[in-house]
Amino acid sequence: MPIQVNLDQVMLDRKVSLTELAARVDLTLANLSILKTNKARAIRFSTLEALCRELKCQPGDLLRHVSDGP
Amino acid sequence: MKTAPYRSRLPLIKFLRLLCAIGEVATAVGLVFVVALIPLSEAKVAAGRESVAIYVPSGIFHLVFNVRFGGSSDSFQGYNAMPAGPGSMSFGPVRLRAPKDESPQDISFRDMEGSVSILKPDDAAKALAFLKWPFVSTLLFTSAVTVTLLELFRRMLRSVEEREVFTDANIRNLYKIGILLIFSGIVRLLLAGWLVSRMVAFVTLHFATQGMALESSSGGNLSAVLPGLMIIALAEVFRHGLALKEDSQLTI
Repeated sequence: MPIQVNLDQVMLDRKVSLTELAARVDLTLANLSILKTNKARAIRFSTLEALCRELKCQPGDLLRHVSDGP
Repeated sequence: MKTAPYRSRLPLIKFLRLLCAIGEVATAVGLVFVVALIPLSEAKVAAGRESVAIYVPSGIFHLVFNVRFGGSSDSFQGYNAMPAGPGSMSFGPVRLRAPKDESPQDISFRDMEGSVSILKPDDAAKALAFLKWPFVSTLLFTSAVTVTLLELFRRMLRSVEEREVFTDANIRNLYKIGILLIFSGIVRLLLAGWLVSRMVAFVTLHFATQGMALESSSGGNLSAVLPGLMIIALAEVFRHGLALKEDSQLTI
């Protein structure tokens, strides 16, 4: 998927666990896991806003564009 | 993952499922009943103690035949009342063409749709024997179709109950229902035509029909095909719904 979610790194830096983050942004653990493992098809702005708020970062820190092929 | 809860009419769904189940059982029981009784009736008709009427339906959802067994005091009330005493066999519909009336009239009776009754017990029993197996096999076919349709619909209703409608299984079910409707509509048309023309041939061969010409009723309709096509279109709608559902579920 050309858009990669960089949650692992940011969570490590902020020293936040998956469960705790899920509780703080009001997502289920399953959904957060889907997001983290790049299985999501879309993300809501409200979710992105909650993540940036809790992790104190910018959207660009969480999302990266990787081009497919040449 | 289930879709968000909504106020579905759960009791109604459950009731419909029950109706489907009852319908399936009723069809099966009716089939067994008729298949068991017809051979028995042959003897009774020959003995002049019973009369049998067989009416071949047309139309979309006339999936079941009309078979009436009459006792000794007899007249069939109702649609196409076929009054005939015991020891007789009646069937319909057939097209009766009245003999051409030469004298000038104000009105004339031309094509009429009605029934034919064979009145003498011996002949009636022979007619019954002649028609027995084609009729039973046609009945088996329509009963199988009815039961299958009801069962498929019942399974779809259960998925509604469980709030998971947009599934691969439902898409396949809808396709099956649609194709079954189309296919059975055509086959039933052919079978009914075959059955009636067989009977008409038997009658015109064995009896003098008093100047009346008997023909198979030419009013077969393919109107079962239209609901089948609509249901297949619905299957494609469900396929789209499935795609939407998956997108929505994977939108975090």
